[in-house]
Amino acid sequence: MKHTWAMAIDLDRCTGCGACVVACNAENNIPVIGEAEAGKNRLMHWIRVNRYWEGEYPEAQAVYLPIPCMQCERAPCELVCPVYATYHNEDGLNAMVYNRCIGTRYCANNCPYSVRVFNWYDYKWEKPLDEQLSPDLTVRSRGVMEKCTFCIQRIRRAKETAAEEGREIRDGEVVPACVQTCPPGAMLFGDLADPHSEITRKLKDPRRFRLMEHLGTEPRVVYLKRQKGAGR
Amino acid sequence: MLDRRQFLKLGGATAFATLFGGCDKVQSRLIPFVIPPENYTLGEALWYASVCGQCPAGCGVVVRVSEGRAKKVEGNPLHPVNRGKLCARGQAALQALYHPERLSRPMKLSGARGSGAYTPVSWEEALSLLMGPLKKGKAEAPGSLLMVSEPMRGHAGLVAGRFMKAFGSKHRVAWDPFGPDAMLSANAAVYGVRDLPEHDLANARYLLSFSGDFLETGISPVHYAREYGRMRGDRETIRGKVVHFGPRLSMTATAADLFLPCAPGTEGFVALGIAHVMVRDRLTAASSAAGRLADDLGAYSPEEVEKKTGVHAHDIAAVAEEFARNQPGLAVAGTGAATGPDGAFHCAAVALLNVLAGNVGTPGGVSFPDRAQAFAKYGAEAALLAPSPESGYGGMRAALEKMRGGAFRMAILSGATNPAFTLPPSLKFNEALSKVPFVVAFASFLDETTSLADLVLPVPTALEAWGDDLAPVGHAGAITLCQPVVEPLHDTRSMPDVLIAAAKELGGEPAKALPWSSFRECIEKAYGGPGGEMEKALQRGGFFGESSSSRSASRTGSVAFPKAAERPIDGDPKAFPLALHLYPSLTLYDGRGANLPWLQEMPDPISTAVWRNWVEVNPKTAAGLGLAEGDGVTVTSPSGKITAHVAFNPGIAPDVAAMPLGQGHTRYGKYANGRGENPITLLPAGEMYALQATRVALAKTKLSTTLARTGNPEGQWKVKNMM
Amino acid sequence: MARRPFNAAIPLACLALTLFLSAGAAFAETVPQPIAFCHKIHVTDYKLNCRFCHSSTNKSQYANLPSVEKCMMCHRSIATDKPEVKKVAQYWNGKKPIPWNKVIDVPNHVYFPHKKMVNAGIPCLTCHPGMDQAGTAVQKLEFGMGMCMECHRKKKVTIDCWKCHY
Repeated sequence: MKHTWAMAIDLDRCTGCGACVVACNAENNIPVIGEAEAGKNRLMHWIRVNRYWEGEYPEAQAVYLPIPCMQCERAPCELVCPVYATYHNEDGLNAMVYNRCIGTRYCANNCPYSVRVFNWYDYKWEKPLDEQLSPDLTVRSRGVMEKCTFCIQRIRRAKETAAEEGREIRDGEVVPACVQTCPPGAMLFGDLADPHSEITRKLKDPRRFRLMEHLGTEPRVVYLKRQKGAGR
Repeated sequence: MLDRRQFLKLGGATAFATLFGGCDKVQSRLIPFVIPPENYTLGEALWYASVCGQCPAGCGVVVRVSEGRAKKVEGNPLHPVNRGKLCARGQAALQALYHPERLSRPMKLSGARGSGAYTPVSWEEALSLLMGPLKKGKAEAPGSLLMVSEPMRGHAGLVAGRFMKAFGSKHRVAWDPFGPDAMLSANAAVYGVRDLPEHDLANARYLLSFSGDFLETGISPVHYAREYGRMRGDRETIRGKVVHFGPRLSMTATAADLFLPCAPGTEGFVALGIAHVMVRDRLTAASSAAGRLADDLGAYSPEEVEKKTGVHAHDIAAVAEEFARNQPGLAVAGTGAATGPDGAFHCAAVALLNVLAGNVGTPGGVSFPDRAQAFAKYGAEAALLAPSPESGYGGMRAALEKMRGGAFRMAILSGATNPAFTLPPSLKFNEALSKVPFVVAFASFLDETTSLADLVLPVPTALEAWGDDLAPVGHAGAITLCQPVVEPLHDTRSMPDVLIAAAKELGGEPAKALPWSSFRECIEKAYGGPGGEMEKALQRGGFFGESSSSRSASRTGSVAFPKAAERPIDGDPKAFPLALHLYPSLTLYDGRGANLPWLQEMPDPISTAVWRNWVEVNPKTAAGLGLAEGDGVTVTSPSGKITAHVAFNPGIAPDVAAMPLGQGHTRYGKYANGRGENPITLLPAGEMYALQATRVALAKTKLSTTLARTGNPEGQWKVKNMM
Repeated sequence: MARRPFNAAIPLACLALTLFLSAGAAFAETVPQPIAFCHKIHVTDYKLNCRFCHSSTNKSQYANLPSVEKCMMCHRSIATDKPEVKKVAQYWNGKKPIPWNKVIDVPNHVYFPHKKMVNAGIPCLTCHPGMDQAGTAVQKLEFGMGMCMECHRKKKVTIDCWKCHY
């Protein structure tokens, strides 16, 4: 069965706490780059939490926007890769294959959401921090691009279990690390191909919007606007 | 023939780490087990339940273990505190476990005290070094033993408490810089219960937050963040509204629907202004309390309150009416309000709103679970297992005084709360400790405190040790069990284990008080031993079935009116124009997270800075001082002077400078050291541990460092489009 | 007491593991081994199923090596006088694992689950030809992506890159 994986992020629940960022670090072997490299805007995080200010004191306000890879249906990054290292896979995910990547960085250049990060160095895990490295996915080496995969290793695991048990994947069985840990429960992950899934229902909410809709990238990450007031 | 289990044991301790296939990179060897563990399939990960241990909230975790290594920590979905969720600090527990700078062996001082020169020694030698002074002290002056630890809960607390009692010393101090002392005394005054309340956010319709930090660093951030999410979106027709008062637009404040900045140290007056309107307009549910308070509240009309706090009178009146009409509602005071010099007043004034709204002991309101009940079988000793969550600042000051007077021959230090770093330097912790002839520290890392010890004993992390825990809030009477989810990485022994061994060697009373062979045996005896109930509980992560009865809040009918004492904060407003607002760091907490690279590299939600500390000011204030974002400044208070980088916060009161705690380490390893200076050094040594106790002046200066901030690489969107 | 697995009803599916090993498999060469184990005797002469020793091939990503205990199940009483079997007994008595040298290597960026192949009914000898006639392990067929792809195409299995590379 084909899947249409999608993520919903409810800004009315998001508190900006960053638990998703560190959960992703732990799940996906994200390197730590240090202060000097961070100062060059080279943080390797696959999900970041943007903070936008608006207004002036005393009416100043802020909104947080967690930004993983949007897994665009019409992804601008895919078109420019000269070696097909990034492509659309059978589940409609925007896949990134490290062993094909030659590091042109065209894809990052073409990503309107700036979610692709590049391995400028062979980042080291000082012993015994390397014991924590997840064996489920590659430790990327210098010169390759990487980005959020919707935790493909978890999707794969769920698919294998379902296949072994001779059934379809259940709604809620695949949960990326960020969604799993989100303390206020602002994130939801699921299959839009399943008409009864929670995410299918959730995305009927009129509050839904997608980032930079006008670009026509058709992101698979859908946001729900923040609300105001006590009622609904 | 060798028994199967026995054989495993023989090769067992190191077996998981070394006797394994597919892990030896250099020689490309494949090394199978001598005997594989039962129910084990190569390549299949297993999950083990334990407790987080990165802060005192006591969240339950499950750890994914693959090939004997911990790979990922997640919240335990069965645990009542966090229900499967975990914060950034909890996720980073793995980096504490696999930290390159963890202490792996006992060490004895080999240079001058505080020089940091240590020689590794065997546990035998370490224990003999420990037992010498202990035996001598027990025989000659048992009252000369001091124990300074973080608050110890569960049976670890029982072991430590019994040890000290049997030894004959009553000098046991538990130090927690964010211990909510003010809130406890306020709750005693208003509710008649000296404990932390449960706030039922999920069922509330309206939440008044007074410098609340319940989403970031409060008493149980994951628990309340989850409750907050449910309050916002889990009900079909109701969305709880949040109004935040405070001097700074914090992460919790940004979550509010309405942020109304107030002058620093005035949260309590805003609360009284709201109470005034509720009583005046007959909007209270508790009419008897209202009647009694009416006279006292007379002086706090919105107009009067506006003068003191800067919050518009019409806003106060409107919020009061909305709060009263949207019940159940909650009023919550946070660290910022509680840690002013007059914290107890602010907390009491806020608590008053819950009483007036009639929300004590109701769904969507405030309740007080009986924590000691979980350990009722221990009678009077139950308080050792479920201690009151106080900071212990008073005890700490008294102990420091005695140290200086030479009252102690020996001190035992333990825990992550690092008093040499978290106490104001004007209290002279280091100097006082130097008067103690023998200092032993139980620690996972060398830090500012443990590096003052004569003998350092390495302890396992929470993921490598046996134990039990009772969370301060959200636990519903549940006891969490901890087990080693991986074989201990280093040659470590837990503090209770060492105390049990020491008691045995001391003989007499101590040996009788701690009659176990190990701490694990103590836990097993307490919970029915291996097999049976404990086995099941370990698999689930604890005993979660029970629900605790609530204690009744007895006082609410006859509330004493909270009195604001005039306690001006340090510093002349002319020389020091800005009030200093110190707050716990979201990532580093009280500083204990500063050595974990993941946390250092996680952008702060307000400043978006990484790896270094900063001082937050209003852009307008900065303009007046000629400061641009990222500039270096000196921050000067009457008590000290440090440097930092400027970060703008458009939602901070113009007369406030705010700094996060946690950076400024000098002896906490390479990831923590040299990342700015410790703002605690700006504080005076007052009677209370008050984080909002001084004023400061900022002046531009040149710094060799820069502040790395992440910004928004894709550009700026309009917030309006997202709301 | 052994550590207890957590058994809550959460997605506990824990399957995929990628070997973290340096590349450099010796192709069709004999790799020296601490014991001159003979595959032929076990597999061809005595008709032992491969999975008798490599028991996790249908359950895990890895084909595990047998534990010393597994060897001793038989060799406590069988062929105890043979010099190579005596070596096994020495490891057993010394409570030491046998330090086999690695013959077949899967690079870091490949996810290769043995269980998927075994459970799809692919005979072991398809990828490990001649193992049933070998002494110590040899790999006569060079592994390359072409070999994987050929089979995946023939069997109409997905050839999505992300199936194996992530």
